[in-house]
Amino acid sequence: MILWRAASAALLLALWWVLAATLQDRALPDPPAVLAALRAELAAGTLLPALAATLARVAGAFLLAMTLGSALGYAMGRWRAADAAADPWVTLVLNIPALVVILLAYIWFGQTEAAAIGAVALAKLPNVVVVVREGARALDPSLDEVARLYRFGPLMRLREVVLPQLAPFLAAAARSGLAIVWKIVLVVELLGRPSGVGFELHLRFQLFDVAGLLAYSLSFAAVMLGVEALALRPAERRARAWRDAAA
Amino acid sequence: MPLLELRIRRKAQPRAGGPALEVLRDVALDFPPGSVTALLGPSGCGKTTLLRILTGLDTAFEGEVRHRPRRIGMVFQEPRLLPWRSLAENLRIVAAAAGLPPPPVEALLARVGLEGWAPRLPGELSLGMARRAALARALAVRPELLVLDEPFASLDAANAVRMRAVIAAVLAEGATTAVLVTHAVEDAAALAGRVAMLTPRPATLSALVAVPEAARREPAVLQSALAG
Repeated sequence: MILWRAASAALLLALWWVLAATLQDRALPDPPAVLAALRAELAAGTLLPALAATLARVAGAFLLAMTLGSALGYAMGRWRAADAAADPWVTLVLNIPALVVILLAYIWFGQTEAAAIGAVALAKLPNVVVVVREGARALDPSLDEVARLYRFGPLMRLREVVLPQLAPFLAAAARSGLAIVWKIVLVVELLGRPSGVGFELHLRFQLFDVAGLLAYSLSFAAVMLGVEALALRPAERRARAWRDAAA
Repeated sequence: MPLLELRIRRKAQPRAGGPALEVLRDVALDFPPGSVTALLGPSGCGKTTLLRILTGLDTAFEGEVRHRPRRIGMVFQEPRLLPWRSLAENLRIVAAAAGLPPPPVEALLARVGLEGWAPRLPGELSLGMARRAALARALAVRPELLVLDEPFASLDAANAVRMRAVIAAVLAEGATTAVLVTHAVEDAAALAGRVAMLTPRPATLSALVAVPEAARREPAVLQSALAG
């Protein structure tokens, strides 16, 4: 399987290379040119701060969306009144393009860090709500009774009964959440932040510096892949360990 | 512990698109400390509902339960262990919730024939073992009231025998008031001090008899005592 993956990746790289060599166009630099641009940005000291700034915004928006979305989704899955009261709001935001949310946030709250992160979190929030609500609806009532019979406190109930059951849903929300959030963060940066990968992309776009553009995008994509592989997937595996033991 | 008193005037279950189903009517039962009561009745007559009212899991009924103890241990028909926690943790968690010091996990598991299983997850257990583990969990809260809902249901013969021996040993200590739901007269005769007989739905109490000594060896004696 790994062989196939490696072969497929190599093929993609080769295609790019061949295409770039044939076209000989500024719009499609070949891999060595992108690598050179990457080295130059690294040497100039612009790449790492940009990656760090974007990563910080991704982390902020992601955590905000996950926390608020989980709480709201849980409440909506548990109590019908909460569901009926919040559902129109969720549906509304779910159907507003992230771009519109960003523009409105900038117009209403100014081009500030809080507006940027808040807009991204808000754009992602409804997805988390919908997924976690599904999880809360699927909670096993028979374990709830165990918690009541043995007089679990609210914290113990959350830790021992609710969270383990919600874990797969939280993991799904986190996975799709991270993938969406970092792409939206690039857009908020492009539209109104003086730093970060999105800002640098905007700059390279105006200079028609395609090698730089690719250098920034590919390096940030690599960072996000790393976060997923090193943080999200292990957490998911841990949460699922007991299921594997039962099988 | 004061006398646990169960007074149900009426318990009805709402039904979608129809009149509520009356499950229980006029059931009055006292549970003296240390007594072992078997609830006997046809399947579906409301025995489990009665247990849920007794333990406080069901509060939607007309009537009251007086002097319900704080520490209740219950073995549900499905074991209902926390599947993501080891057996040891399952026992520790309920003891902690009851405000008790860490329970003697190994000793409790040994009592139900699960020595050495403390670090294992519930998913690795057979139904018979899981139900015994659920009994160990119930004992981990040092229950003032121990409730067993059809503890032998869907067990194979060997596991049922084992479960019966374990329960008999626990009840013989007389440390806890116990209520056992069953539909088998033999189980009631073997384990309980007295038998409360319920009628078909809406269930009401049709008889409350002490189990005669002779019935321990010959369950038919109890059968005729209930009939008379």
